[in-house]
Amino acid sequence: MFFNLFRYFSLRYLLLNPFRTFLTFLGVSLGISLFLSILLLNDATLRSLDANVESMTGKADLTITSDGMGFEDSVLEKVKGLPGIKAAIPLIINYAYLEEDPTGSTGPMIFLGIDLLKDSSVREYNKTGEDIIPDPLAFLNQADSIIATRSWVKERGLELENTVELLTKQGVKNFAIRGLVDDVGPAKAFNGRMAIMDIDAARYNFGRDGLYDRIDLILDKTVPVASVQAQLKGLLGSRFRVEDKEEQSVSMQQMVKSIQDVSGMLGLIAFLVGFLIIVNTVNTAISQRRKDIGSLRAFGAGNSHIVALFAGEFVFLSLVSSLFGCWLGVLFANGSAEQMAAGMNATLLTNVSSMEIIFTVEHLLKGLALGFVSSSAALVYPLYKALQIHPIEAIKPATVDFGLHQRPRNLVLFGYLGFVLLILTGAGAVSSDAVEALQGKEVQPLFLLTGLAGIVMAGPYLVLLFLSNLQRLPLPFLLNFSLANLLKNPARTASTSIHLSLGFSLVIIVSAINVSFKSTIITWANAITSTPNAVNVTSWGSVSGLQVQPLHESLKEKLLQLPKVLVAERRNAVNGIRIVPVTISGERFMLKAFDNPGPASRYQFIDPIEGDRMDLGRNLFDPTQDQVLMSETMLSKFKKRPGDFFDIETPAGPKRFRIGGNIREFASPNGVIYMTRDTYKKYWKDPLVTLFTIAHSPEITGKAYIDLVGPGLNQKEHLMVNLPSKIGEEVQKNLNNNMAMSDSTKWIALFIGTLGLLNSFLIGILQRFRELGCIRSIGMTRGQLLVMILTESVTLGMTGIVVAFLLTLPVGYVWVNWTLSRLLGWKVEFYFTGQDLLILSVIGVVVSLSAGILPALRASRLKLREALAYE
Amino acid sequence: MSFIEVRDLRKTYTSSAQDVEILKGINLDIAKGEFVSLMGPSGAGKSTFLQLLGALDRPTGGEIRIDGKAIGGLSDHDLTIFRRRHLGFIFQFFNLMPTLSVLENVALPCLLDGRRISEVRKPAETILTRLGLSHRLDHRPHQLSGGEMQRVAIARALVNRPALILADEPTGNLDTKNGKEVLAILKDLVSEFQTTLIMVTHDKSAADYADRRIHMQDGVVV
Ligand SMILES: Nc1ncnc2c1ncn2[C@@H]1O[C@H](COP(=O)(O)OP(=O)(O)O)[C@@H](O)[C@H]1O
Ligand SMILES: [Mg+2]
Repeated sequence: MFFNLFRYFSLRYLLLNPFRTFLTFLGVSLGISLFLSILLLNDATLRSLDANVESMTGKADLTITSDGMGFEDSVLEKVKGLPGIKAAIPLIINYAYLEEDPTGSTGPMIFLGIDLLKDSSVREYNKTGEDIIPDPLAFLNQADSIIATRSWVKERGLELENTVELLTKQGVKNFAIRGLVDDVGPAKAFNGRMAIMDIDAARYNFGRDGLYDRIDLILDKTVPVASVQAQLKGLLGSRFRVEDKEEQSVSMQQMVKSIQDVSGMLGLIAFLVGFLIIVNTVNTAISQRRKDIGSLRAFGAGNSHIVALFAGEFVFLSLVSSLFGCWLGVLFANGSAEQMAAGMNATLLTNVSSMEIIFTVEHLLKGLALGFVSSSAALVYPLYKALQIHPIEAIKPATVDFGLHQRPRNLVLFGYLGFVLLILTGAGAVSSDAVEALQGKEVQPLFLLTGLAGIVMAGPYLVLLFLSNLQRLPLPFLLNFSLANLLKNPARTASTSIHLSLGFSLVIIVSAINVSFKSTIITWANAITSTPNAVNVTSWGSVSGLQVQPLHESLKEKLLQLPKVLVAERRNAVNGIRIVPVTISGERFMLKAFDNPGPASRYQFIDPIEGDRMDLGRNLFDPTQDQVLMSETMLSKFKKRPGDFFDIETPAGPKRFRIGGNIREFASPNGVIYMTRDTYKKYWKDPLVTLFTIAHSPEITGKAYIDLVGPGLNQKEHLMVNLPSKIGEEVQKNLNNNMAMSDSTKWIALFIGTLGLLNSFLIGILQRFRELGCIRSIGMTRGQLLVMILTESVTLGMTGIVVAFLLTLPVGYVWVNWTLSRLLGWKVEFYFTGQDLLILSVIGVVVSLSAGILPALRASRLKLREALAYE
Repeated sequence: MSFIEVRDLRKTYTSSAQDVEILKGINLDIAKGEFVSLMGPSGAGKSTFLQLLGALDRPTGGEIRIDGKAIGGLSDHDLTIFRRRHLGFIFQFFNLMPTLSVLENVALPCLLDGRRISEVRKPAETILTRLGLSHRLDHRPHQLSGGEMQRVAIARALVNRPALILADEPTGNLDTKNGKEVLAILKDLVSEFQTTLIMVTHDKSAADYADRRIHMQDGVVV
């Protein structure tokens, strides 16, 4: 019986309105696909991080790490002495380039310095069973031996005993490939872009004498892991992390969590826009079929039959859409995986290398469940009303529909509620600073939700308010008539406008957020890199993601020998900057240590928020006490002010620093801390430098100077010489990578919104067939009808857009300045220019026009006779 | 030459299954100012015929001339203008625009013609007053009774003083008393304005108001 209902009614109704069915299908499947692709990408990211941990940690029970920039090797002996430890295996991890990568597209090679005899007890290198090192004696006896991966060697057309050039502490040297590993373990995690050296060779070549980056521990099975872990923590202090595999994974996941929260939120909004389409379609379908329902009831159909009729139709439709959406989602996810990984690596200093999108049964079920739940939710209220329909409906003559009976009382109520939500969002977000101790980080996503709900609820009310006030103006007849038509059915007009408002709000908000982030960060990058007559020297690679190979400070002497280096009083011409991650109270920050360029340089690299640049420079380089400059984000996180003191756990023990000033800094979202390189060396014992700046004579331009010294340094020393502005460009590129996902999400959401608008307009036209036929018969031409319908859609569209702007910009302002700043860590200022406003307005007009044109054409082509007979 | 000449008028509906000939060659002459009632069983093709006369649809064959003009040769745009200026329609379900006031509804054909409401206010008011609706000018259709609504529809059909009014069962949705009232007014006005009126009805007493009664059956005039 139910199957027959489905076959004779549900399926036929769907086929009877092919276009509407198609629109609904498209809207729902796009919404699901966005949601799913974000899910897939997030899963792939987490899996990649897990795989990383898994392959690096291998069979180790516990892993000791510090800031990710090494710790003194005496730790190894200390640890070894502890009972229960079967083996402690040290590791050096270094980035290095074997080919030039000025755009940062291939990324660096990971060089592992390992204990060749012991490391395979932790990590896996061999799958095929072939010898890794064919001639172990030759390997060990020669200092220039390295091991590469089979896949990389093959890709580069190399073989055993071939040599490659590598930048070392002693300059560029040749290394011979004397061993090959399979793409398993670490090699797999780094996509084959990995090479291995003996640990002592690595320390020597990369200037890491006396340091280790991590120690992996294998324990006696007889002792409980937890007790050893507790003992180690006590022994090593808070500067170290002692973690098992799971804890390492959790720490990694923690880093990407906030980004995943935000993208998940965007996916949800996109899905919501698609969901509205099915709500609308269900609603119309049921109201159009009152008579059919009445007839079925008269013939003895029970509640269950009526429910089955519509549930069959729409659950079926939405399941089919979800299925297609799943497929699309996999497509989207695959398309954006690489960019997403690149963006994440650059900003979060993670190593997500092999993003593999895996679509599982669980994802399929999630997609289908979302489709099922949303269509069921869309059905509840309309079905409830359908069940009230009396058999009498079937035999009643055509009712005369005057429209105006629908009073928008609910909408007004909804609108007020929306405003209340918006105000609460604003107040909550702004005051979250003060009550942070109470609320913490976790309440921020709530403000995203309430803000959104506020927009959705207040939007339709404002649209109606606007339209009815517009109607008071002395307008030409057709325009006035169009307005009256819109206002005749407030519920329909409101629901139509929600499609656009929601889609468009998303576009405005995401744009505003992107513009704000970009402007803030680029402004900063420009401010600190505007030093005239200066160039930067780094290894091959990209500075912004810390994907450069650190250089040894002794390189300074060599650089000073370059031609046209500026020799001036109270000024050092070549200065090193060391950039490293540093962990403070369990969170990762960025530390930048500077050589003193001298007061004549005017300390251009400092962008002060308060106070004078020269004063901050003098504080930083104060020889009488250790001082640091701190980014605003960090100060507010630790509730400190300039002048306060700040404790940092350094390799030389806990040290106290005076905060010499607050600065604008966007190199890391969590926060950045400046100190002098002397202080840094004193406590961190690290002689490496991330980049050098060279001040050159003003008689030559930066570009000309690069042409002069660049090629020599590049060929002989594997060094890159760039204008300071290159860092800004890199930062911008990383941002673009990070925003690619939200950018495409917003456009797809707008597209779904447009589909919804189109669907709504079309439904509206179909419901007005009789009225339109009548007005045509008493003398409205096709052209006039076309103009009238287009005027309606554009008026509604434009009003929706104005309202979206009015509501969304303030919400965006609050979100950018408070909520997102806190969620993502960046302290960003809200930017939105007139030009952005203009571009978005034009897009809005195009969207409402394109959604209006099809219904308008449909209306103008209506057959008069049929329209008049239409019921 | 008569005011309306219908020659061998045919209308066939083509559907995928089969063609159905609804009008099978109608010949008819109607003089200017004549009040004609069109009767016949349901499905005889009365509405179809009326819609062809009103240029709402195109015939499959034959010709209609109104005031000497073959309307079959006009473009859709010209037909619309023709309807706007020279024809009036009265429908069974009134078909007033719910968003417009009574006055605006009546003025609608003129407004569509590009005239201002201030220009058409006077003639619209005059005709509404004649129909006893002077106190209802600013009401909306849903505030009126059925009889009042149909009187507004009549005013709208008459406002341009058209040469021809086509009415499809104008009393079909009214009770007997209101129906009679509406018919009496209609008859008065068309004779005063010298307007030709063709009215479809299956109510015999309504048909009695007409000068001439025509019967249709199975697509032909009998
Ligand atoms: N679009 C159409 N396609 C096929 N048949 C139609 C169509 N419109 C009307 N008909 C048929 O034409 C016949 C005449 O209809 P109509 O002119 O409305 O009759 P009347 O007004 O005399 O009752 C009816 O049998 C009707 O079913
Ligand atoms: Mg009829």
